[in-house]
Amino acid sequence: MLKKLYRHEFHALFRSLWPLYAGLLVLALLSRLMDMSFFDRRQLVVQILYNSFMSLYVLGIIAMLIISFAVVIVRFYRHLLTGEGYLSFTLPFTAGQHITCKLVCGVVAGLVSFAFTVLSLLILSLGTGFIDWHGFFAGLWQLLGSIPAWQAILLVVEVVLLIPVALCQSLLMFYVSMAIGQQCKNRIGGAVLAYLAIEAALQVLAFAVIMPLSTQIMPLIDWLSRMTGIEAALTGLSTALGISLILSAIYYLVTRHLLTHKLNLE
Amino acid sequence: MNEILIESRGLCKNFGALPALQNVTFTLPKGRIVGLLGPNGSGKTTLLKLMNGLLTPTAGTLTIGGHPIGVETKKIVSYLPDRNFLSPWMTVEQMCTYFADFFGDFDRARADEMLAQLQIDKTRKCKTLSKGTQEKVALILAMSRNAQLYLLDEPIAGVDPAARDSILRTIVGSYREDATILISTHLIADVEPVLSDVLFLQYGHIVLQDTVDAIREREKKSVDALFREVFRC
Repeated sequence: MLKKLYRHEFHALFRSLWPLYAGLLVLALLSRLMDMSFFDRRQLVVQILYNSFMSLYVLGIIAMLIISFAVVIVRFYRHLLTGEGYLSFTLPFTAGQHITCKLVCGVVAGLVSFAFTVLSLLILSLGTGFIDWHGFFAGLWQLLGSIPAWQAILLVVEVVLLIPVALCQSLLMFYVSMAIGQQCKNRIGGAVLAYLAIEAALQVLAFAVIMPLSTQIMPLIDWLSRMTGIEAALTGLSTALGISLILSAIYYLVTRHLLTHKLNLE
Repeated sequence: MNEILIESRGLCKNFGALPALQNVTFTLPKGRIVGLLGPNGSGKTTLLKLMNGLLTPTAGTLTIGGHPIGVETKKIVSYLPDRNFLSPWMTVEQMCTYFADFFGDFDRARADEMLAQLQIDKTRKCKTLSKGTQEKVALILAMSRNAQLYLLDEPIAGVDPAARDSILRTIVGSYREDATILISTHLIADVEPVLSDVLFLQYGHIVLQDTVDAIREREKKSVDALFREVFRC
């Protein structure tokens, strides 16, 4: 049964995203074609077309990343907090299962959007020096080879984990804001205010944590200076991962509580 | 068919300081068509939402089929809210598939038959249907389930008299003796012919629960006339 919930969720999300991905690939392909040797780049028409496609391509990447994120957020709002919520919340699932499903599908949509961005860059740079892929991977390999194996593995694991976890945190912050916002008469206004309030609370909290540390600034500098570059990177990534996981858990639990006990559908 | 299906004991629901339901206690057996009757703001929709788990009670207990409200009760309750719940981008056919996927008791053949009877094009997207047709599709979806309990919130409000007849025919046509239908409405005269029992709700209290026959015999008047008398402003 849960599989069907995920299947429907993926279908609902990707029906809006596939055209965006296709559009981006077409723009990358057109830009690459205009850069082919059989077109005379000195001709004004070719220059105009090439520059137009390149500009559209760059705009396309930005638009796709923003739109795909917006599609995920709007899907959560419409499917759970508007009239559609009357059906969604009477399906034989808990609020937690609904949130997890939306989150997993949202993160997958984010990763797929990222993958299509990389794919379009590959198309654009195919057979050109537009992006030095060889140099990039050679440098990465060299970096990983220059540090102990356990550090290299940990670095890769942390980077690979941080991307979906940070995406989870961003999405859950929107979810919790919308769950708080639905308690207000003006739901969208309430959600925007809740988002800003959470952001402000995080800033205050960060300041409250950093302030006491500033009195220990010398030992802190001393501690950091004893670290190698890679150790500092690993510590930074672990800290970011830990904070992201804690915040994600808090947002998730608050959203689940509100949608279970304080649901206020339109 | 006197097996208890719904049991509510001391059920209360407050919205902030405002009480919407106060100490609501009643039981409903299987095999009845019950009118949940009351003026606007009497707590009918709140009670239905509590039965669906869309709201959590402030106090008291509520069970359906012996289960507290949750995933188990959602499997046996079919709900028609007073709002449009259809996904605008889906076709009627896709909505049927959606119901069939999530409700094991959804009868696809019955849904197709009712859609055909009402001449509703299954290939059309829900957003392209008129408001009245959307309401009919929602009703067909809800009534095509072989549920134990049907909760219908104002199914005939906002539709023309001809559509009301068609909706009531659909409800009565879908009735099974092992199921209970609870219809919330303030349009008593229209639903009275199909009701077997009534629950009168006023200011969040149950003020009357009886069979339609008993009311007519005792009061020598129709339920509609009694309603007008009880709720006269």
